[in-house]
Amino acid sequence: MRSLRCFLSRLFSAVTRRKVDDRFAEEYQEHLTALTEENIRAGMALEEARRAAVLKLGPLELLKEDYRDQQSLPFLETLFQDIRFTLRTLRRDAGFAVIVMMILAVGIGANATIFSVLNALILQSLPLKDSDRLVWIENNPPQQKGAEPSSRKSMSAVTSRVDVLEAWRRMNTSFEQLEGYFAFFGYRSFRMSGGGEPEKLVGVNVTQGFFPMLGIQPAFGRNFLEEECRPNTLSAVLISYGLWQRQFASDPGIVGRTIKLNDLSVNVVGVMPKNFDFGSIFVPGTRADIFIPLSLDDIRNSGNTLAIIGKLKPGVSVEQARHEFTSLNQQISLEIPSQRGAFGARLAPLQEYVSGSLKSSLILLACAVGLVLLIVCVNVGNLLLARTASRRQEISIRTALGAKRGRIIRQMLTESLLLAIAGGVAGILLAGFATRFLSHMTGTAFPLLETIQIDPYALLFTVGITMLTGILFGLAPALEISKTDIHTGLKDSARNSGDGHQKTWLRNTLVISEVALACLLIVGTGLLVRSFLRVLDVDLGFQPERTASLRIIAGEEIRTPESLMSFLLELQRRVRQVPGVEAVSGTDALPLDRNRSWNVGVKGENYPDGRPATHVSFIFPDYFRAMGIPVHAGRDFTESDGAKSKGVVILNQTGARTLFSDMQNVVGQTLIVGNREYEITAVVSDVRHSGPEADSGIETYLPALQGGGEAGASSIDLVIRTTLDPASLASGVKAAVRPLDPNMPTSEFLPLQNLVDRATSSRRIIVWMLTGFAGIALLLAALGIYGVVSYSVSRRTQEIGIRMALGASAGNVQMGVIAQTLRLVLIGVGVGISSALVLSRLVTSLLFGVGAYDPMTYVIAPVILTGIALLAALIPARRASRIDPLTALRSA
Amino acid sequence: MSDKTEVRQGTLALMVLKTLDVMGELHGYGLARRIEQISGDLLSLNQGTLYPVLLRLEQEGSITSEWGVSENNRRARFYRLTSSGKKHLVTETKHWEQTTAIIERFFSVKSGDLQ
Repeated sequence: MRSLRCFLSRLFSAVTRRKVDDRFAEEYQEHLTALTEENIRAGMALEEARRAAVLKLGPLELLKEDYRDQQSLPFLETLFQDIRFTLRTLRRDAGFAVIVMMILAVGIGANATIFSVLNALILQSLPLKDSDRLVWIENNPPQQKGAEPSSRKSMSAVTSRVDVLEAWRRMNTSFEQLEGYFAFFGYRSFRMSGGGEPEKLVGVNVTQGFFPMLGIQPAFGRNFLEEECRPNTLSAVLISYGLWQRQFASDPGIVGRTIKLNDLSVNVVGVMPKNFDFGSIFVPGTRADIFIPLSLDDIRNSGNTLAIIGKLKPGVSVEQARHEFTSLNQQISLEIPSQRGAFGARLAPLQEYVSGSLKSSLILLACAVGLVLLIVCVNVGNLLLARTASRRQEISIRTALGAKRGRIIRQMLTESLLLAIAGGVAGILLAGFATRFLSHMTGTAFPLLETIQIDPYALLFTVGITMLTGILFGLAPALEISKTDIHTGLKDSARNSGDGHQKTWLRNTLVISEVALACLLIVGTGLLVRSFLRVLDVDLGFQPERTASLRIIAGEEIRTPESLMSFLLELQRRVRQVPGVEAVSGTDALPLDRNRSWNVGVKGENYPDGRPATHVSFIFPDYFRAMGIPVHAGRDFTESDGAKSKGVVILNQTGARTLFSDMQNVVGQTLIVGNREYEITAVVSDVRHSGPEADSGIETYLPALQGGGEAGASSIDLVIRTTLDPASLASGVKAAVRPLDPNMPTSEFLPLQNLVDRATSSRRIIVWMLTGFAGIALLLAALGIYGVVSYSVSRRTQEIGIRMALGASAGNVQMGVIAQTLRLVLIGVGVGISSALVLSRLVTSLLFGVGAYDPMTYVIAPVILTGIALLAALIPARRASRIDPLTALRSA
Repeated sequence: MSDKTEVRQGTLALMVLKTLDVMGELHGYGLARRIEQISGDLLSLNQGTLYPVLLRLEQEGSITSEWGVSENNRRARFYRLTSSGKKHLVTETKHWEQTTAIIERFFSVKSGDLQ
């Protein structure tokens, strides 16, 4: 308590620099006078009396120092002194300070940004209650064994049937609760009408206990009641915070009001909290506007449509639950006819499902920014080192005046820390912009983007790396300069003295390591860029160029499947008339967007392990022409393949290969898809339905006109191929559609390329960032080389002058400088390439279509690096060659 | 070695507090004289070292000071014990007495006593 008070008092006077020196001086004088008088009274002479008094009291200057030390905190005093001094010197050298600060800001900012991303996606738990107990449970048919686990690549492979959920709920003992949402919620688009432009809303059907299990309480209102989850009712809706702000002007009276959804009157029971974003957690890149109660009975016969999430009982591990489910599933596969033979489950912590697939990419990014920061340190260290040369005299004077080595190191470190802090502040600002930009990106498949922000953890991290950086780049120059020998330091003016061998060595090592680090980063980036280009080059099986889709949600007045189909056919006829339209068709499952999974088999064939799974799309005639999918054999569907005619199916090549031994006679055979028989009318090319990086499985296309309730329950995407730019078509199509149904929202006119972009978005974001980092590394390496070479040229002015006087040509001098640079760069590249060869195996899982030893990358990276390095060396080399021997020698 | 004792670390502060407790308000010179007087001139005190100690005690809140006029009509800084200083003195005194008592016992130990 007392010492704290003392400390605070000293801290206060240290900070305010309030001095009471005068007080002490006065007291000292008074004391001295009193002592002198006493001595005189004792009979001394005046001189003698004063001498004795000083002896008794102690020397003023020494006491003053003690007094001052007690008065404030000497440590802080020194620090302030150093800081003031640093600020003064840096102000004199503002250009240098700004460059160093900018370099540091880039390094620190990049690290803070990537840390924030990593923090939001991997380190922090999901923004849900008890998120560590939430488990994603996917259906896992045995024939898909070996497929990549828990990725989002294919939606239907992960969903489950209602009867399976019910069986799990009934039998398991590991979970407190099992809830789900209708995974094909994209199908359930709603239009909200009543005033203004009709808006298309994406609605998610969730089971009654879904939000309570996740710990999500509406901001206003309440969660669903049991009676609101009955079959065939749509009486209650929860709306998202965004929709509430957008459409209802944040009106708190919305709860309890009735809105029109698909011409039905529905009661708004609540508004979801602001920070809850369903899409960003479960289906990135998708907006969820409204939530509606899911009745299991309504989708009982829709096949695998449920995404299931369970909450473990406290203390139960995922492993235990997995174990239990393995035995449960054997039992279930016997009990439920639809699951006979082909049944399994895969359990993964929800967090792993959400961001697990990005983990290795993010770690790669983190390594990359780490490298960038190292390069930044090396670079700044090098710049500081160059500066120490010109400060040699100053340090010598300080040493001569009694500064100890530790004191000088301390002052140098204060300088570098101060620079680091300035860089850190600028860096965190940069990171603030970067994270803002990232968190506002839309249309990507990156989960949890909105939660990326500079939070206290990120701040703490930044402070940490800032300090580390400051010490790291400051240490070499500090140690170097503190070794200054007073004599040589004072005698030589810095310009003329030759460089010590050791010092050149240090600087060269720094440049070499910089080049090596940059090389490593460029190779890594090169591999990922080449992978990305390969992904873009993948033949998706359809042609997204000049094709757009338009999602159709028919009004509630079209109730029967028949009327919906005739409405859609009429719609297609109208759109076909729009100028520029080449082909029009429709489907309920666009590639890269949605899919459903059924079982398929050849009639009469026996499948002991269960029939294989297939993607099923319901399509309209002319689909393959509109999508640009080649038809290999047989005929397309026509409008006459209707509900009353024979069931027909079109199979893809993989399907034909897998199901039939004789590829020639596939057309005309009979397939059993789901539980109905269809005759194969055609074989078409494979489409990468689940994404450019996933192989196509068996795909079957059924005529929407024969789909009955199955196809009618969903919304349909019109596919429009044009001869023009798809975007220019929007108004024409809207005009064509409007007379048919004025209330139909047509805002979502989506070029198919957007789907492709979204499917590659995660990879694109990562490649962008990596390329940015590699660019920074390259720039810094160039800067470092430039700095070192031009420094050495300026130090060697005299030597070069002599050489030229002795007959060396400008070309000789230039070549000399460049050869010197080349040696450094080649050593650096050698080290970089060999470490890349060792480390690249670690990124193999992130590569696509290129090997970890891709020769192209390993050739291009050194070439780029060497080229840039030579470019950087060229300027000082030219300067060297222009040295005038006369001036150079005379100035000595 | 002189026969005067050097002031031990920390004890000077205690002497200052006790002196102020007994004498009331004092200025630096008076304090130094009193301390020498009380110690019976056995203490070799570099009187200037009093001032950093006084400053520390003031920072701790044990004493306060203000300008006043000395007995020979010159400006001088007068120091006075605060109530917190008084409390501090009491505890310190107790502590000191205990320490000396313990040390006393060790010094008076004879080999026979421990049989």
